[in-house]
Amino acid sequence: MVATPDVQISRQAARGIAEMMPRPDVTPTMIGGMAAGDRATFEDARKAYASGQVEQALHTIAGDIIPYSPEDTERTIITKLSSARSADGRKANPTDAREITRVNTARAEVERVRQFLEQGIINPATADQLVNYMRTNNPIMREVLDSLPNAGARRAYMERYIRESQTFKAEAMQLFKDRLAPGKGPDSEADVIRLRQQVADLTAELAASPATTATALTQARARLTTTENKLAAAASQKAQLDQARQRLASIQGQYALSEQIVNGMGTNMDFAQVEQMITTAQSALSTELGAATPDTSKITKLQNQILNLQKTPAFVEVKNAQKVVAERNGLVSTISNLETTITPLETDLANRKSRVSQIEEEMSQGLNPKDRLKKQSELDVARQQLADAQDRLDAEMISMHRDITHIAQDAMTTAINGSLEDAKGKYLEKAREQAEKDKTEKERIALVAQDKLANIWKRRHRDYGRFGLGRRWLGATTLSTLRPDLNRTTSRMNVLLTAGKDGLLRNIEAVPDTELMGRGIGMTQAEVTAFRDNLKDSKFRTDLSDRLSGELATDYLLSGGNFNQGVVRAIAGSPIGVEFIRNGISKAEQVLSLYPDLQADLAHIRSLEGTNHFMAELSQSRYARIASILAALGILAIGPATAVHAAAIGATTAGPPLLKHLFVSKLGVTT
Amino acid sequence: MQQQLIESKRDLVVHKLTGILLDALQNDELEPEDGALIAGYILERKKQVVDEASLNQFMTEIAEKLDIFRGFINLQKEKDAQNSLDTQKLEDIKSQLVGLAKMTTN
Repeated sequence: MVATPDVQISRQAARGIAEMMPRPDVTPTMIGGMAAGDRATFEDARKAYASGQVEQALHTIAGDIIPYSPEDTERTIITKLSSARSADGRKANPTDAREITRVNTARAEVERVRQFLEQGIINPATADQLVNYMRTNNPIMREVLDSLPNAGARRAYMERYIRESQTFKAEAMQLFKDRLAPGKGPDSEADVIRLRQQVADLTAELAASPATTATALTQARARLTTTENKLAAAASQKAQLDQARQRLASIQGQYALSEQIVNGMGTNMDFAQVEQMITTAQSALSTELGAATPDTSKITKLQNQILNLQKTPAFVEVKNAQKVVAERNGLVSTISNLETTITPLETDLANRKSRVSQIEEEMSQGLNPKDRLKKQSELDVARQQLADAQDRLDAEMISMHRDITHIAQDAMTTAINGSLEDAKGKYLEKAREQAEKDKTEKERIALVAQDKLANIWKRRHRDYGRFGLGRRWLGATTLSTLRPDLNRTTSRMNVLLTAGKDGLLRNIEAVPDTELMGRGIGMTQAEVTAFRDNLKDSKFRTDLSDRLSGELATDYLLSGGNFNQGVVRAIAGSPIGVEFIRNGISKAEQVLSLYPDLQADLAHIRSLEGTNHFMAELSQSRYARIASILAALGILAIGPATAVHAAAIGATTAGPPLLKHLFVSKLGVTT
Repeated sequence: MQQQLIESKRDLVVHKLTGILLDALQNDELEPEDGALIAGYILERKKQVVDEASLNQFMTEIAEKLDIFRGFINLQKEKDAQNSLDTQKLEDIKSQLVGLAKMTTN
């Protein structure tokens, strides 16, 4: 078998483990001291129990059953993601395009997660989403996924991972219960509704009391004067019009009868007869007047006859009627002509007079200019606040949408994070167990001091949140944490490997008090004193050196420490390193049994355990690969090793084939 | 017949345990996560109860592991002991009567 040279930790991968995305902080709604999701579960279980379905009740408590029906979750989605309301004021399906998209994606995602939790069916879309998410957010997973040949293989891998991980399912169930618990919608919604009302009220108030400034009054008055002047210029026409109207009004009474007379003229026999006689007389008169020797007496006679006929009542009546009709028609025509000029001026005058009166009234009764300005300013502020509240509402809805549609992603992140934390947590657990056994205050203080000793190889790290450094200037809160530092862990690892556990302790013991009490390590004077006193106790020394060496080795891996051949050789050549490898051997069989090519090496190494050749053989380059795997297992798999622990180890040591397997297998290795 | 008796006894115990579990959850004596673990444990262990011995084993384990069930389990065990004592007594009386009957016949 060919040795694998320079198998090494991917620093990026190790950092990915140590700095995994924090679990999104979603505060569950509380009902009667329980989170809403837990309360719903409890109520369902109680119901099932009361109806005699004991097994169903237990399954519900165990979290195998979602406590919300599809109708419940649909209502929750609408409550959280829609701002539309029906006629009765209840939340309704959204009308806004963005909200429609959000609601639809949330519905689809919730349905997929429900299918998985209740029936174990993994929708390919969920698997694909997780593949994309993990490739973006998790360096180790990215390495594993990228090592697979195609999208189909990646999906199949993810489906298998989901199916086999109990943590993922439990976490997804909890997130489902928390995030889809029926309850209130976005907090900002109440603000938006209140501010909308405020803006509407102020707008109505200002509209009911329009701007009545002195300028407006002056302008209105000026316009009135202009119209008055125009009317004055047309005074003679106006007088004619008035006169004509007056005359028309005075003859209007006679007009109807006159018109009747004129219209009935043709059938009036008396008039026709008289008119005929007058015509005849006038004809005779014309003949006589045209005669060579006119007969004066005849002419006079004819003239008198005509005059007499013209005085006939029937003739006079018709003639008068004709006069009245003619005058009336003349007046109508005159009035019509004059009105084209005068009426518009008069209408204008009336309107402008009315406007002036209106403004004067408003000025006396409505808002005064100062109040109006104040109201206007209130309206402007309310509008700005409304816009801000709407932005907040949008942000809240986006966040709620993210929570609902990222249940699988967050469950996966938590599952991966949690398992790695377990490895380190084991060391702390041991210390806590120890602390419980120790009675004296001094010993207790010394144990507290122990917790801080590992800070020696850590460095203060400022976390500016997920949006990066830029947020710092926007006032985002920052978090200072201590994280293992590669240079510092490497330097102490050198001490550990060359001088052993006690050597490491002596090295730390030599750190001056002032440094121990410095900002980086943070021990108090009492802790330093207790720590130094307790160092005289050999059992304390052994426990502490065990703990520190384990913690250091873990932090070395987490800070991205290399596991190249040189380091492996150093590990294999030191008693403490061999101890790690021995630990690893007892925990690694299940992993390595699946790699036939390493079987012979493992068997060989095991056969040498307890002999003088053990260390020597491990130091050979031929065994670098297996030694690195065993050492890493020995360091990390202190407690129950999960697939992810092993994956972390795989990433640091054996490369993609093992890594791939480690991810998909559930190891179940226990101490 | 014996099997049915065991099953109904087991179901009675599980019924009681579930009631106690629900009460503990309601009274905040248990965190929901712990409740879920216990419910899962009961469901899993329940499958392994096939006879009197495994039922006893189940009850002993439950009482050992979880305080909230201890009172009920102890009471149940006392009851069972009393029942078996009563059964024994009845058997004794029965055999005495049979013996007496035989003597009388002779």
